[in-house]
Amino acid sequence: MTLFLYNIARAQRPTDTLNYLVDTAKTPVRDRMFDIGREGDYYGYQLACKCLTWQNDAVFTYRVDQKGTVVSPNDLKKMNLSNLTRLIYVAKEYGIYRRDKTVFNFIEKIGDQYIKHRVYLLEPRKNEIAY
Amino acid sequence: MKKLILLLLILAASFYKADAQKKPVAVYYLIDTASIPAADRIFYIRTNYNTYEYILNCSCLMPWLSDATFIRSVNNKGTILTQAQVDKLKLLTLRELIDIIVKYSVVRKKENIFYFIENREGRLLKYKVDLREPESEYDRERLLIVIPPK
Repeated sequence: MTLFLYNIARAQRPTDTLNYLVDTAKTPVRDRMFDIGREGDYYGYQLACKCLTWQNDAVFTYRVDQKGTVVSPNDLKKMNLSNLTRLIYVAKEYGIYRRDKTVFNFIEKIGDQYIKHRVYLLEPRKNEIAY
Repeated sequence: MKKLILLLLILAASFYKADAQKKPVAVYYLIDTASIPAADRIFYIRTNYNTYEYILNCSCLMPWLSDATFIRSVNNKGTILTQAQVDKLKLLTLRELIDIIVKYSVVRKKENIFYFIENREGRLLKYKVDLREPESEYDRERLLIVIPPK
């Protein structure tokens, strides 16, 4: 029985990792998809894709007191970085199935070095948009 | 008789108003994928037989959360614009474009005509494009136009 429960818990653990380099500065203003800001104790990255259920945007957050890991440019080259299409696709899958399959890591350039944070995707909420 | 004329007048006025509301608005979007880093591009452009497709991989269209495809004919030559003309136009941002197509997929009322402006070897060309109806994953597989995300 214990083994059975353990197997279920194991199956629900995230198995996939997705690293994404958030670098909005290089994109022209008209084509930027990310809104980055701080709200209370959380940093948030709002990806305006309307790709979750109820036309929600995908919002990734992490706590302010979470210390990120420093990544050197050499490590960054070795890292398997994802693209925006993949990120949107995975967020959509989460919106439909609500299963944490993926660990999201966002990498930001601060000064000379890159800092990696684990971010969490918020659940979509039903809102009242008068279409 | 007077009453009848009045009634007709009111009817005509209401029809006129309804007609005025229906007139679709032209919106312009400048496609400039070259200036965006490769990892952040969400437009894929390609030809499929005699249609030219702009695929916006936003997973945003209701009811299947599918990608949006804008199409035009390959034979469409487009109209040449000068830089001054483009500056005068109010260009959409990518977010506004996504908002419009998501709203269309929910309400199903054609309120806009889409024009894409492309930069081809220094010439700015304007094309009228149509939004393809949202299609399910099943349809996409059937039509063999699946684009697997990397």
